Amino acid sequence: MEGANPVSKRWTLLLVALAMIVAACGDAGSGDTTAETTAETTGETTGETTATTEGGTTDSTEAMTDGVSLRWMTRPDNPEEAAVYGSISDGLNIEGVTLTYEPGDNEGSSYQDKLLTNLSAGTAPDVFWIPGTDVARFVQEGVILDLREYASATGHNDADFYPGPMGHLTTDPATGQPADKLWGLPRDVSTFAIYVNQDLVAEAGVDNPLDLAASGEWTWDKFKEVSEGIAALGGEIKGYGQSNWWGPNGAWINAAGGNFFSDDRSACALDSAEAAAGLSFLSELYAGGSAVPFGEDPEPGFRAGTVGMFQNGRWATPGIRTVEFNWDVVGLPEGPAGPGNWLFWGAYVVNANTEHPEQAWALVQALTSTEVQAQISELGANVPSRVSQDALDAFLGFTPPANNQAFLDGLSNNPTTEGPLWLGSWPEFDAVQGPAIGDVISGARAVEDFSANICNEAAAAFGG
Amino acid sequence: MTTLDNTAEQAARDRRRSRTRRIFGVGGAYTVLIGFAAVMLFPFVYMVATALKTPEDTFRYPPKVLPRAPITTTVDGVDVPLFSLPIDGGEANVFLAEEGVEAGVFVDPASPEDSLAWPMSLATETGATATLDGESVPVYTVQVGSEARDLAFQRGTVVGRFVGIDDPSIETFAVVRIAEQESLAEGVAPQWGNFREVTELRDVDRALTNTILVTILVVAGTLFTSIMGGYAFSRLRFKGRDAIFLAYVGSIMIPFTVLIIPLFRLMVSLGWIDTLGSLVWPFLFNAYGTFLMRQFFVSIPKDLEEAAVIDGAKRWKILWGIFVPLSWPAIATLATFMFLYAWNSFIWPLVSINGANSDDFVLTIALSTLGGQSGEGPNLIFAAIVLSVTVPFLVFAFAQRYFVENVATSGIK
Amino acid sequence: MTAPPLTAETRREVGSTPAWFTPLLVWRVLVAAGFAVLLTTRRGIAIEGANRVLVLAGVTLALFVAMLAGYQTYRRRHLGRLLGFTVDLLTASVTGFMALNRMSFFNGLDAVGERFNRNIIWLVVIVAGWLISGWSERGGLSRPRIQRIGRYIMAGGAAIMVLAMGLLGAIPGVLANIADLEVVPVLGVAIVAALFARIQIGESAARLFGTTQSQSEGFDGLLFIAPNALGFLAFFAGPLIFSLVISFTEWSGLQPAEFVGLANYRELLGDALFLRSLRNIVIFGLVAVPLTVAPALLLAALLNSKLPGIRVFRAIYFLPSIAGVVGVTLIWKQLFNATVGFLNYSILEVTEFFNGLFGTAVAAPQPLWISAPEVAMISVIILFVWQRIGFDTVLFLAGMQGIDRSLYEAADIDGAGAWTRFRHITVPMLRPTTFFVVATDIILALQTFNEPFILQAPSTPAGPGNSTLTPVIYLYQQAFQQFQIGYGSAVAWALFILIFGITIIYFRRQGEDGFLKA
Repeated sequence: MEGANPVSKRWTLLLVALAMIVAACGDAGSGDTTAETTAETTGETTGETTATTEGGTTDSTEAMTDGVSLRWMTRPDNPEEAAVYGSISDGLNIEGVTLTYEPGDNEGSSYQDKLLTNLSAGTAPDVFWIPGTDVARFVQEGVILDLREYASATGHNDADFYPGPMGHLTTDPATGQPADKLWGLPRDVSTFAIYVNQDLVAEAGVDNPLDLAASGEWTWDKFKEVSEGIAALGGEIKGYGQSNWWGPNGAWINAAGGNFFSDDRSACALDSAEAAAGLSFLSELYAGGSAVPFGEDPEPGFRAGTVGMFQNGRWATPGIRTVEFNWDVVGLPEGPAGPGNWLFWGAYVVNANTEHPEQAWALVQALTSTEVQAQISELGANVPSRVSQDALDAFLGFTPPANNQAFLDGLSNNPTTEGPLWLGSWPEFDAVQGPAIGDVISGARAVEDFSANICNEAAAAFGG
Repeated sequence: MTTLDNTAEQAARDRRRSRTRRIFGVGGAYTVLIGFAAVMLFPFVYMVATALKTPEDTFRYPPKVLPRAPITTTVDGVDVPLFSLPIDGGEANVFLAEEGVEAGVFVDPASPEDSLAWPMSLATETGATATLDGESVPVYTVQVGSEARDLAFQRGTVVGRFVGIDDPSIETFAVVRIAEQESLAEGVAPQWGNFREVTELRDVDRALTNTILVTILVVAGTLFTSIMGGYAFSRLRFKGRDAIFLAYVGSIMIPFTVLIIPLFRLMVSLGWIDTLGSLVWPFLFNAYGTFLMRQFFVSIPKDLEEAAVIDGAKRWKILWGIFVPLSWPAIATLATFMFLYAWNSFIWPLVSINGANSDDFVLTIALSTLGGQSGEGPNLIFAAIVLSVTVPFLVFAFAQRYFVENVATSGIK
Repeated sequence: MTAPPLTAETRREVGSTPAWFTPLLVWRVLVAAGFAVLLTTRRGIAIEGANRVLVLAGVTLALFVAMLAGYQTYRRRHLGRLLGFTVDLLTASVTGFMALNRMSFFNGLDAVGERFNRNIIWLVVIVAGWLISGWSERGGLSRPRIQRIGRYIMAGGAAIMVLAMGLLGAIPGVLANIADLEVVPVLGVAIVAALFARIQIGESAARLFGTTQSQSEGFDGLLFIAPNALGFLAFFAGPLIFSLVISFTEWSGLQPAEFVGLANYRELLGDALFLRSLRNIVIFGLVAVPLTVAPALLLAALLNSKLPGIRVFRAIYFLPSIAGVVGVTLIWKQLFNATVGFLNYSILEVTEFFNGLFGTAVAAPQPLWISAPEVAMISVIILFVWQRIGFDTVLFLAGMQGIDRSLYEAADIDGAGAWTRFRHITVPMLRPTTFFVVATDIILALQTFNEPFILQAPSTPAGPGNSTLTPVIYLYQQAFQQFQIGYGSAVAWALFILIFGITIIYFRRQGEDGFLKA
């Protein structure tokens, strides 16, 4: 742009030269560090692609560590959680291993998609966390390692963890049946509970859900009564809210005795009368107007103090801890078949392309040890996945909410375990049933029509 | 042309008529223009206002445009929010002294609209009952200030006890939530700190400078290649030139959508995923830019360069010394287009910048990540939006002369 | 032009054989041999799958061209120079690119980004210099003087910025990577090829090969088009062909691709979600484009008068289109919020106002702008129209200002009213502009991704009940979430065919007399 006329061009050049000399004198130190950072940064970001060239550029760091270095990644739901994982990573002491923790993106973005991208780019870490529903997809793509041989060698016992997740983690992708495989170990588990704004309950003068639960009267009818009572306060106040995804819908279906799929997950079961009963209840609840309109995100409202009850998992706790009103959690209300619930989980798995499978397995074990699980429970976002009294005791101690037991009760209420359809496609099934159930709840579609047709519509997802 | 023989009289009548019509026309025109301007501007006003709010303020209902915060006052050395509640027909400045007072909602059976939330301790049961919505409810004598009223008990609730600030003997009760909504004294209080806070959040400042860097490189690089290519297509004859040019023009039609996947795979095999390079290097070669420059160069008279000697080394000088200085309108247009494109592109960074490493975020990605988190208050998201919008607005303010006037036209030709 | 035209024969006699000619011949042979080695050894082309065929074909072609170039160079024909130069340029570009990439040169931008962040203040200095250089005369300084001062400030700021960022200091860091044994030969080839390419540009080469005037022009054309065309090939044409190829495969990106012929396209025809996305986008386009173009035309007509304040209005209307789609979508997302958003609140207030005025009791509609299936698309349309109106207005305005004034003057004399003038002069004369505006809007509308994606993210990217699922969102889901890359490519090509078809039809109907002429 400069130097359109020749005279000013010469002067400009002179000035540039002068400026360069001045700046070079004052900035000699930083020039050197640049070279180093450049080498480091590029080495890091390109990961495996430059692994072969790293010998030339990062010799010094390699020499210092004198052992294998492992990278691991998990999805933290907030910055505090990321910090805890970081300190866990620093605190772990696995012989001869240097650890690097890479915080994955939080819920706001799609962690799994990015992980798959990194896998296809060859830059994925050695050990990473994946949500329970994605196990089959990752196994079928051949990107995670069967850990059974390492586990057998180190005296690992599957029964140390809840059986639901372990069932999926030991499934043979070809048959969909349990087999002598081990795809990983669960990081944590979670169940649904209902977060209650105690101030709104008191203001509305309705029965407190926690008292109702304590006396065994926490039923669907009472739940509806509470919701309507709170909404009767008027204005923008709503009694209840749930997010728009399959989990909360599934919990109601379960409480009615139905489910998304058959027991062996090989066929659609949404056409059952029980599933219809669960959806009818939800549909009536929403038609009554006491709930946050279906599809609207209820969390901002709950945190702003305008929603009385909010169904969500343990992961919502850290965010809700910042609110200014009195709150607690209560288990899900009892439907025709009990409270019903879902068991959500995710697992640490090992990259099939890792160069150090033994050390990676050791890392997976270390990350799921009682101590580490207790440490993470402190954040409030997770329930330990290990069936260990020590870990559970630690979990119960981390309040608020005072009623942490509600989450553990969910675990013992025969929850359905979140997981893939081994012989079908969960994302495909979800893409069909999600909008359909949404239509039923918002009243756009009759339950009868739904029951009659949904399993035909979803047949493709089960390979039909 | 038939009107040439119009009489002066007719002309005068026409002028009068057109003047009245003109006044109405101008008035109508301004009404439409101002109406549209308001619609166009309101979201931006709202953006700036929301960026300056407290998190609670962003969720309030009814919504307010201007950022507000409670006015506080000091009572016994503690800062408390100031309420102004009705008491004995007037209003008094009070503060919340106690919460969670057990109370009831009492209704005048004669006029069910008139309800009152008052502590149970100030109500005594009369033993009588009244009918409310077809249900039989007990009647209480409720002591409100100096007055005792017989009211039907509708349901239980809790209230707060409010005490006068100047006069501690003043005492009144109200549902805290409603008092906070309706009676809290508030002033306009822009939270300038939001901007500082957001830059510290998830490296929004890195995203801002990354976006600036990427934009500068893309604009400069595209200008260079487009000027070179445009010159070759407009002034130099070589075999296959027209075929290549046709391919270029045709490629403008191809939506970027088709390229996302293969370009992504290319980035994967080059090892550029998750690097700023993936946002810059592939976008320095722009068929549309080449086309634009070619069209402009074609319109430059041939005699200008014929004066200069034509040979290899000289062509370079002719291009930069003669063509470029004559082509500022086209160059500015292209620069502005490329600026807007690079600054605002979303789907490509969404695909190619996908790691946990937020050091490589650009603003669009940082914004969508922030926006996807219900955890962050909208105030911070809006502060980030203000940052992302300011730079294009400034550039537009300076480039408007080129862009809006000359440039839009040359874009069409 | 000034030099007397020489025939090829006389030129050849004038120029004696320069010293570089023998090395060039050797080099030509080496290059051809190199391609032959690449073609025949397994290690040469390590690429597997669909690409292998393409690469093999490319190398075969290169080998042929290299041999031809060698022969013609030996014969001292211009074709030899042309082909030799082309081969050398391509070789230098490809190997240079590979070497630089291996040396992490291109990824070095990340480190630059970090330093840029810390030294952003110097950019402010540069911008300040630019602003100063635009000042008119002031403070006793003449305009050229001010301009020069501004330029000095810009140049100084830029120089300090480069140095403060340590860019010069970083060069040794990059160069240090040359030590990498795999880089050296590649870089060597690049440098040698570049040297020979440079020699063949030169004056002495032109003499030696007897290049004529028009041949020399063609040679220069090649030279000027090269930077653009190489990038175009690498980042546009190549990926485009690749995209077409993988649309015929089933590929997860993790396993090798499998050729499936037209299966993806056949599947598309029966894919309810894809058809739904097509339906959504066509309805969207049919509603959104007219709703954008008509008001834009009206506004442009109003702005095309001599009313004061026009510039201000024009600037205001333009703001939404430059503000950036992510930002404005997030703003509207907040306005659309059904429970606490401004839009529903305004509807409520306005309804209550009219209820009070007329004593009616009309219930205010409170649509769930984002979460109701029947409304979600309307929100996207509102957003699109709001963003696009100003841009179209400015384009129309530019078109109107290009209309010959005398036409209006003639109409004035005829006593034509404003509407008549608009209807019979403005609209017909604007046809090329209208074509451009409508075609651009259609193409944009059919590719809609950002608005619905951000409005609905992260829980339901396809919108409630798939009501805002667009083909591009579907493509994104297929290719980057489900990793059906082949299928995703088929979606892209199907969408392209749709866009292309619609544009061609529109072009046929509307464009013949307008756009083509311009």
